[in-house]
Amino acid sequence: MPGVVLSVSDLHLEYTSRRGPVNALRGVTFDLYKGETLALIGESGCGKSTLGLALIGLSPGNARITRGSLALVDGSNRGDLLKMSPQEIRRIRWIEMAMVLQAALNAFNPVLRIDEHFLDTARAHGLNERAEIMIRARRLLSAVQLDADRVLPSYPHELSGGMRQRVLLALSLLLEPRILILDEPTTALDILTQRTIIELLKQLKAEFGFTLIFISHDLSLAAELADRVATMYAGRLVEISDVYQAFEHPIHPYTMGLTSAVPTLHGGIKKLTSIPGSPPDLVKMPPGCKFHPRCPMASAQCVQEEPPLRSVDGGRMVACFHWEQVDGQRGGTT
Amino acid sequence: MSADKLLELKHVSRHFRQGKQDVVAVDDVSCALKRREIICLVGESGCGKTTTGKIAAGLLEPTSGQVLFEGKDIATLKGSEYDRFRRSVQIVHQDPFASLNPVRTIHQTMVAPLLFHKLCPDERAARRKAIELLELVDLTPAEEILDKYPHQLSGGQRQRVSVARALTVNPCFIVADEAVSMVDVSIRVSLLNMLARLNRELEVSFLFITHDLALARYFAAEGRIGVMYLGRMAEMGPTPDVIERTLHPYTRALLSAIPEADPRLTRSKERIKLRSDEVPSLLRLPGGCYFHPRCPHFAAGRCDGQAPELRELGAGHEVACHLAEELTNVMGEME
Repeated sequence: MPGVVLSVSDLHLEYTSRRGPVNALRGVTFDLYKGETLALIGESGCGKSTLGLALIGLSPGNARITRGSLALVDGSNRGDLLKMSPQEIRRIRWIEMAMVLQAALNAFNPVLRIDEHFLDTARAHGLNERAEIMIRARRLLSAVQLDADRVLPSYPHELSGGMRQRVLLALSLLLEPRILILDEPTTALDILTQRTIIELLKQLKAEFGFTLIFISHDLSLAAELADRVATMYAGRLVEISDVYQAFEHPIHPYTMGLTSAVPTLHGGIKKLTSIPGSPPDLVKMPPGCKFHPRCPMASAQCVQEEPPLRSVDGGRMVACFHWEQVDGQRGGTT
Repeated sequence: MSADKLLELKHVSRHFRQGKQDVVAVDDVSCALKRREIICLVGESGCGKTTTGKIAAGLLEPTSGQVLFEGKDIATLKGSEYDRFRRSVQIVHQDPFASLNPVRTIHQTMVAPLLFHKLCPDERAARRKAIELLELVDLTPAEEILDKYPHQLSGGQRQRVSVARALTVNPCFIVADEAVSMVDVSIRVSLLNMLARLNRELEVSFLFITHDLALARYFAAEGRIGVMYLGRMAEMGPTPDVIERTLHPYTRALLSAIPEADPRLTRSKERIKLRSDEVPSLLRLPGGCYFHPRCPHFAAGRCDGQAPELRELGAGHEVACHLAEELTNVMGEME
């Protein structure tokens, strides 16, 4: 295994709300390896985007990280992001880690031209060589297959959704981040545009060698792009597996449920099964394993105790008491 | 057998004014839906699938062409005949957060049409009927759901209420416009399975509009798929034929581009490279076949000349492509 670039340990985050604290992250632990593509999957409200924002220090004002550590590793340990001052974080952002947000298509400043977005970003990090920045911007824009002469002097509204998404990818790579976080990178794009972005991501990764975390509710995107898949449920990671294992032999009943619920275009049409019920209210969660009310395998132990995330064979991690029986269940459901 | 046809679109077009220009959102679309049939309309944004759905549901008048309901032009229906059409055809919209009145309880939403259309004699009977319908769409305990407001329900539950509300008037045809695209993956399938059950048990026909071909294949497994591109029908036929014996290069491009939830399968798929990624604007449509600027099989002189007509090439399998026969032979040899 290559080296670790980011080590997240026992991360807890709460949002304050009128109804009480929302436990959006409840002890997230994982290591991100250099050069890999990690997909974060799960239903809406499971904490995927919250985790992405927390990693890059952009949590909204009503969020509070109550516990845990976020260690950015670079040869020698670079220390805990959570202990850094806002100035230090700001310096690291874009250089160490960049994120393209979910509402990315609206993330531009509508009154700035695209070239000004590149210059602004560079300036915020002390780079004032206009000519040099523009050379780099042009190179990145051509890497995302855009015509720099046309795009740079344009305003965001003059570009299509797919073009804006590509500009954002180019912009996020401006300062050569080591880690790139993408939140729903292809949602809201049409099928053929989505394919263009997917192929671009593969090429950019090969060219620039960054480590990629992407958040998606779209399992087929994970199947297409990820090296590893991390399944999130109720604010925790419940399974981390190699992509083939996650889809073919899941070891958490929730991963199994998700992967059995998606129709494919090829192969026989099997009757798909859905996961009964809905995700828990993060203010009032059930006791024990948070998935037990929806789980076909729940036992008395699951109602009382929350299973910890632990390492099992093949470098996988799972938080389920019955993980060894999960794969066997699969045949029975079709 | 025209009695078999429940609803028929005949050369339907719809124009919209945009500034000084006429935008053709739907261009000469014809299709007939039989009783109990499921048709999925598939395409990317701007292809006219939603406009077609609204025309089929009688919510939008076509600029030209006819919509026949049980053989009669709906533009000529009057009085009780028109009322019967309106009740027979219902629509379920994409966004369950916007389509339910937020200040009405589910009870109020469900009971109003039952009483208005005199489908139930009194409030008590209407309540019983409402409970029955909520149970039919798997919303239980129905008694509790009735007293809730939309904001107290999840997206999936709301969409079930939308379906139950559509069912209050005993429709024989439902237009479902991206009806499951806003709910989570895990819940999507149970909604689809529920709709499929309504199709089987209540013999409701569906015009199911989606951008997701895999979903269309699943839902219309025994029905038909129509693929639209920039307002025109590119290909239409029985689902297995459209997916496995694809005739139109656009459909083939879509099928090859879609990532699938199976890592081995999706990574080994052959990708079709288009000549251009740019979708033409509806304001500046190319001549001839609308797909020709992007089509990998473009033949100068033919494809940019006349627009291809939709014609039948296999049993019930129609395609609008000048090159369909040649391409099908080539593809057949490659396999």
